[in-house]
Amino acid sequence: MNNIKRINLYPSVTLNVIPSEKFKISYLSVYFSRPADEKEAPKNALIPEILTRVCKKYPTMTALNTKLQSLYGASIDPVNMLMGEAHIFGLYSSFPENRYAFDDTDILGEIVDLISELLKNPLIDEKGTFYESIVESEKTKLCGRIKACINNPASYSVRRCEEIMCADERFSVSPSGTIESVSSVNAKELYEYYTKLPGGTAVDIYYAGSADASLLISKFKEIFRNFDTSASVKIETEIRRSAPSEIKTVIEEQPVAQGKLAIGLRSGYALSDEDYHVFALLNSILGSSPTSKLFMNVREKMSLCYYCSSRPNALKGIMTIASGIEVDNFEKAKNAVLEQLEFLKNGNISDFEIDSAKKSLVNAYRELTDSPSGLVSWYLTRSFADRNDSPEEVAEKILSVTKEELVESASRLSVDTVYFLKGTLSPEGVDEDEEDDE
Amino acid sequence: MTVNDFKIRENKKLGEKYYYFKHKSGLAVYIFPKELTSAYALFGTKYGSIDNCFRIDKNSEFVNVPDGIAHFLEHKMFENEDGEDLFEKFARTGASANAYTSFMHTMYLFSCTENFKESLEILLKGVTSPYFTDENVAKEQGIIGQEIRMYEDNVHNALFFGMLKAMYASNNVRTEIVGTVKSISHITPEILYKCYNTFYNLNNMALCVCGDIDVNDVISVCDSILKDAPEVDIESIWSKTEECEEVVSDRFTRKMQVSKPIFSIGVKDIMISETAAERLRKRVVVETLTECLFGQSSPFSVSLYEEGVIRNPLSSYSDHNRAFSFIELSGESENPEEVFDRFKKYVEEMKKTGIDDETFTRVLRSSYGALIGIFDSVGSIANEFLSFIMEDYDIFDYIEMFEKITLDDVNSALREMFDEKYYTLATILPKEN
Repeated sequence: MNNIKRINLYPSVTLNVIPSEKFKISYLSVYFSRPADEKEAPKNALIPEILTRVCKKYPTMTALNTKLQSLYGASIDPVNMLMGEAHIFGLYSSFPENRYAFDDTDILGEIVDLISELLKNPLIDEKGTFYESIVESEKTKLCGRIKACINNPASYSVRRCEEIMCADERFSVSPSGTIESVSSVNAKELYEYYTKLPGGTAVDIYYAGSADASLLISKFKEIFRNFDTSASVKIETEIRRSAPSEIKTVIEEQPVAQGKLAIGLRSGYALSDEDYHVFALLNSILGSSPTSKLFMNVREKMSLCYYCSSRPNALKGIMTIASGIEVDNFEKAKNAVLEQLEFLKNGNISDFEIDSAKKSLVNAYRELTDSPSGLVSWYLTRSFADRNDSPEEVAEKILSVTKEELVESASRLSVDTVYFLKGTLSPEGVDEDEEDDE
Repeated sequence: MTVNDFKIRENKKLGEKYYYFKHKSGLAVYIFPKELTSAYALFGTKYGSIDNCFRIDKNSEFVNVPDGIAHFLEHKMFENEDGEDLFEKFARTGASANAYTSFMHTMYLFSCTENFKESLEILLKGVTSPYFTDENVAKEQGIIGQEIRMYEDNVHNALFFGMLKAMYASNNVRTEIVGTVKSISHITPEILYKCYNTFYNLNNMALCVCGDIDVNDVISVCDSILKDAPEVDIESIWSKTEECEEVVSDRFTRKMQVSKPIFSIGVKDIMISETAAERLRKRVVVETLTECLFGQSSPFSVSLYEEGVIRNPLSSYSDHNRAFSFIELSGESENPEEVFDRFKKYVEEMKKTGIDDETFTRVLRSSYGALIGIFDSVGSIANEFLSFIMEDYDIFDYIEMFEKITLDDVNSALREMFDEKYYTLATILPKEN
C-alpha cells in the first residue's frame, strides 16, 4: 500500500502528499534541512521563530493570531530539530478541512496564502532587514530555552549521554545553538542568511489532507520561484557501526531527588539498511514494550524503577536506554541493564518475547495509518534514508523475522557511554527543602 | 439484547454518532463507531485521587484511606492470580494497554488493530478480578516510590500542586494524585479491597469502545464476563471541612532546579452548581472566558510576550467539575510579581469594558476548530467521551453548548469570578549556587 506521493517541484524542493479522506483536521508543513553545523545552528533555530511571529501583511502578533483564530483555530508553529545529522527547521500547520467551515471560508487556500506571506514577505525594517528588536527578543527567548533544558532531568540526561557519546560527530550539535553562538547573531546577517537559504537547502513540503495536490503544486512552485532551487540536496549522516572497546562512564551531579541513568549504544544498524526492521524488533524486545526485558526485569522483578526503556535513533544508528532510579542503585541498575543485553546476545530470548514484541510493533505500525501527523513524521524520517516503505509494509516484514536474525542483530549492539545524573537531594531533604508553604 | 434496546445519539453537523445501552450487570456501555484501522476500549470508574474518605452505608462511619491509593490500586489491577499480569495477557492479542488515574477517575484502556474481542475480554476480566497480596503490594511500593521521586523532580508538577495547596484549605484536589512515599507505605491488601469493593462496582463504572466494532461482540463479552453488581450509593467527602471562598495564601514559592522562575496564577472558584446541566454551561463559559482573556490573540498575553516579560506565550487552563473549579495561567518569567500585578490591573480593566462581541465570536469559532479534532482518533474520542460521561453529560452536549452560551454569560462570569481574594501566585525559583 503506497500512501505517499513525492512530487519534485524543483530539484531541491519536494511536495509530499499523504492523501487522507477520513479526517477532520489536515496538516501542512514546510521543512528546510541542512547538515547540522555549530555556526549555522542558532540561525536555523531563530528563523522559524521570526517567520511565524509576524509578517508584512500581519505585522503584529495580535493581527496574525487573530487571523489564525478566524481560520477555525488553525495553528502555524515553528519547527526546529535534528533528524540524524540533518538540522530541520521550518513551520508546521494544522487546520480543519474546508468541509467543516460553517461559512464558505476556504481554510486550506487561506493557510497556503498565509504560509506564502510568512515565507516570502517577512516583516522588514527601513534598512531592509529583520527588525532588530524582534531578533533580539527571539534571541533572548532562545537562550532561555537552552538554559531551561536543566528543568527536565530525564530528557537532559539522555541528551547529555548522546552529546558525550557523539562528541566529535555532528550529531552533538545542539539544534538550538549555544548561549554564545545565539548571542553573536545579528539581524542583518540573519536576514541575508535567510534570503540565500534555499541554495544548498533541501525543502520538503508535507500535506496530509483530502484536497487535490494540484493547488499545492502551483502555489508552492510560486512560493519558491525566486529562491535558488537548482541543485538537488542530499544530507548525509555519519554512522559508526561499533563503539570503542572501552566504555566511557561519566557521572555528573545536580540538586534533584532521583538519579537518571542513560546508556548510549551503537546499534550496528541504520535506517538505510535493508534489514533495519530486524533491529526495530530487537529494540522492542529489549525495551520498548510492556513485556520487554527491561520492563519485566528491571522494573517488575527488581522494583528498581518506574521506567526503564530503550529508544533507537534510526537515522543516526544509535540507541539510548533510560531509567530513573535511587542514586544508591546506580551500579545495581546499570548491571541489570547490561545483563539483559547479554541475554539478547546469548540468544536467551523466549518465543513469547519474540511473538509479543512482533505483535506490539506490528500493532503500533498499523495504528500509524490512523494518524496523519504520525505519517508525516514517518515519511519525513524515511526520506533521509531514501526509503518510501509504508508502516504496513514494514509490519509485514517484522512478522517474518526469525530468532537467528535477532541474535545476529544483537551481536552488533555495543555499549559506548554510560551516563549518570546523580541527584544530590536526600530523600528526607525533599520534604523540608526550603519549602515555603504558608 | 437486540438493536432496539440501544439508544442512539447523533450530531449531524459533525457526522458522528454513538450507541448506548445499560448492561444488566449495571455497567453503562457506549459504542462509538468509527471506520478506522484501530479500535480502542476504555473502561473506567468514577474514582480518583480525591476520593479518600467515603462510605456506602448511611448508618456506618466514613472510612479514611491513605493518599495516593486510587493510583496505587490502578497499578495493582494489572496483577492477576494466575501470575500473568495484564501486559502479558494483552501481549498475546497484540493490543497496546495502559491505565491512568486523575483527580476524578481511574481509566483502563487498550488500542488494537486486530483481536478486538479477545482484548476486550482481557480488559473486562482484568479490571473485575482484583488480586492483592502482601508481597505484590510491597513490590509496587518500590516501583511507585520511584514514580513519586520522578514527580518530585518535575518542576511543573511542583508548581501545579504548590498553586493548589495555596488555593485550597481542605479540598482533596490539593493532594498529589500519586500520594507520597510515606502515605503509600500505609497501604495494605485489606485497604485496597475496601476501595476496590466500593468504587469498582459496575454501577459506578462505564465502558466506551470506539472503532469499526461489531456491536454483538461487545454484548457477548459483557454477557460472559460481567456479573450483576448490587446497587450502590457512594458518599465521598472531598473536603473534610467546608472549603473557604478565598485562597489560603496569595503566594507559594519554592526553590528547585530551574533556570529561570516559572509561575502559575491561580483563580479559585467554589461556586459549583448542584446540577450537571448548569455545571456544563459554566464549564463552557469559563473555558471561553479564559480563552478570550488570555488566549493567543489577547492583548495582555501578546504584550507580555512581545516585551520579553514572559518567554513563551502564556498558557491558560481551566477545570470545572463536580468537585472543584479553578483557572490557571502559567509561564516562565524573570519577574512573576510583575506579571501578577499586570494580570490584576488587566482583569479590573476588562471587568469595566467587558469582552467585545468580535472577540467572543472569533474565540468560539477557534474553539470549534479545536474540538472537531477530537473525532480524528479513536483514543481521543474514547477518553474525552468517558470523562464527560463521568460528569453526567456527553460529548455532544458539551460541543453543542458552545452554540448556546452568550456574550452576557461570559461577561457575567468575568465579573463574578475575578477578585483579588481568589488569586494566588505560585512560583518555582532557581536555587542559588
